[in-house]
Amino acid sequence: MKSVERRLFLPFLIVAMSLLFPSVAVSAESGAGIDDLVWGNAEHGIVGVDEKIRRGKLAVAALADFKTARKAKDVSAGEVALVTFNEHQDYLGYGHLEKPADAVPPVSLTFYAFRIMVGLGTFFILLFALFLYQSARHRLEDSRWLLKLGVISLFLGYIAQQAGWIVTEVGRQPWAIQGLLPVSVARSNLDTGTVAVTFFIFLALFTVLLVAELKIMCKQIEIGPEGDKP
Amino acid sequence: MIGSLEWSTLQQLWWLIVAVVGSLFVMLTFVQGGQTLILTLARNEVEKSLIVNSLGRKWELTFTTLVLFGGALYAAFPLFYATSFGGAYWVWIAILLTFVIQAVSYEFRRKPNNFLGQKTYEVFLLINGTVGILLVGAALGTFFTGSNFRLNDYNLVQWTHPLRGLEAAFSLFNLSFGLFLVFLARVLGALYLAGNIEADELVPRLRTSSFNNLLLALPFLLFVLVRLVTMDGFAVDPATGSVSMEAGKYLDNLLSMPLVMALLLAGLLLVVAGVALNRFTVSRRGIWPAGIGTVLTCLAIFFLAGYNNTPFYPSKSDLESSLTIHNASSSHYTLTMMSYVALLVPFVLAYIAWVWRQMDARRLTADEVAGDSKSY
Repeated sequence: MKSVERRLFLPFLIVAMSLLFPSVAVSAESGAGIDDLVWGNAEHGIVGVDEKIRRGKLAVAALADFKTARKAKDVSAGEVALVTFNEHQDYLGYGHLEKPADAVPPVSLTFYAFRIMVGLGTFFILLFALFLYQSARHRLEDSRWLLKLGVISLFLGYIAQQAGWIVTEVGRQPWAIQGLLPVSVARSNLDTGTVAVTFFIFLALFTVLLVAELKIMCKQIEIGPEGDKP
Repeated sequence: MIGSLEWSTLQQLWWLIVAVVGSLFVMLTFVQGGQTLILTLARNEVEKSLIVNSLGRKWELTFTTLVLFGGALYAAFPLFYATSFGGAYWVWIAILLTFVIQAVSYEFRRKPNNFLGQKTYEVFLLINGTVGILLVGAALGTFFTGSNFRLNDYNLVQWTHPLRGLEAAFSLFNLSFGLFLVFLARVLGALYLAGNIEADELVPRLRTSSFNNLLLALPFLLFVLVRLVTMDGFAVDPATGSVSMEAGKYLDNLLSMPLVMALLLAGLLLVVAGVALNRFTVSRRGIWPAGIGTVLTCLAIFFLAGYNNTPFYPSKSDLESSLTIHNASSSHYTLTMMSYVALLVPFVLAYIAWVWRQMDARRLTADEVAGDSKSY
């Protein structure tokens, strides 16, 4: 009995830590709100996006002036443009935005994707702990409900992974580089048709290969680990 | 220490590193060349499996070297990466797809219930070895013939040809360069397999095959070499950075960099020597001189394209948009940091060499393939 307890120490530690994690996530939210970031908050010294856009447009214009001056070999005009640019360069990317709302990523999608990711992540830790527990008791083969849950959780893993990508890529909008380069400027000039064709090529090819992979795996499962059946 | 080097020195150093990795990739395309021999040279399933298993132990090395080549270009010459991958889009996508179908074919080919059938996966390997290498060659050919792009003041690329890179394959020079690489890969493939496989009937056929494929490669090689020394080339004025067409530029590069000329000639001679070794003597070690010769030849080609005030990614549409190792490179800081990281590369190479020796310690036999539950 004692050895079982010792074996279970690690899973319980993991579970305990995972329960702490959501509370950390909640406390991180109690900083500046979206409204403060977009419209500014003089009380807390937060610069609003409209001011950043104004300064960003100055930086974009100064950069263009600098390039024009350099082409014309006009050294003094170049230096003047460079001084203006250096003053506002931290907001360069905002110069490409039209209105403050452009700086806000799709909130609800990011919000729910994040919670799905963290929720599933926490669930997996509990699930692994259960597997470890049953395995330590040598009861894993008998726990049909747990094994079934494990199979279903394989697909939950894919969902968690995709939710994670949504958090990263939707949550970062509109930036390729925070504050400096919006995605709309960073993107290549491929037209939507090209992107769509590429997408469907990959969709078709990977679907065919997925079918092949599944058929091969099902056959191997049917053959079994002994390999004694055809 | 490295940080005290001039920026231009670091740029030249990184072009050297890119050239070494690119040349190693071409040497390792013996995998792709070997793949094109499966359907024609093997007379039965046992021979097919011998070829596939011999190559199957190495294909990842070729692929990761290609990725490393792209990665080194990305890190050291990011403007080239952004221009070429965002601009010559379709040629890179096409190359990528030929490598997607390669990766799975080794695993799926002989598995029961594999949906597309063994033959399809063998054709996939053939496509990777022919179309894939042809397109890689055509893309490398544009280092000399130029591409259709224009960069604006903010270095954003506009491709000026609707085929977005695939047009490279319709230039006689690029096509010849691509076909030369395809046949060179077949030469290397046949040489490698002859040295790696123990099979009484297959090995003589591999010896003949390397010789025949060298004969097939020669006309394309000659055309490429003759055109290279006679064509107008792209030249950068080091003082102003402006680019212009110069008669006999690449011949001039060869003459003003005698070491490059020596590398090119020595490399080609070693390839021929390797093929002759396998064809006319009992030795089966021809892959060694031919492999080293391939690396030397490719190094010379990369040096011709990038050194001596030559833009390595010239633009036909707008000469001033042409990319040189100086205007396309990373910052001094980035190149310095990467140089420190690159000091670890010899250890990686040593590890690969050790693994390789373990894998090739004994020649592959039909019995070993049949007895290994993990064989392809």
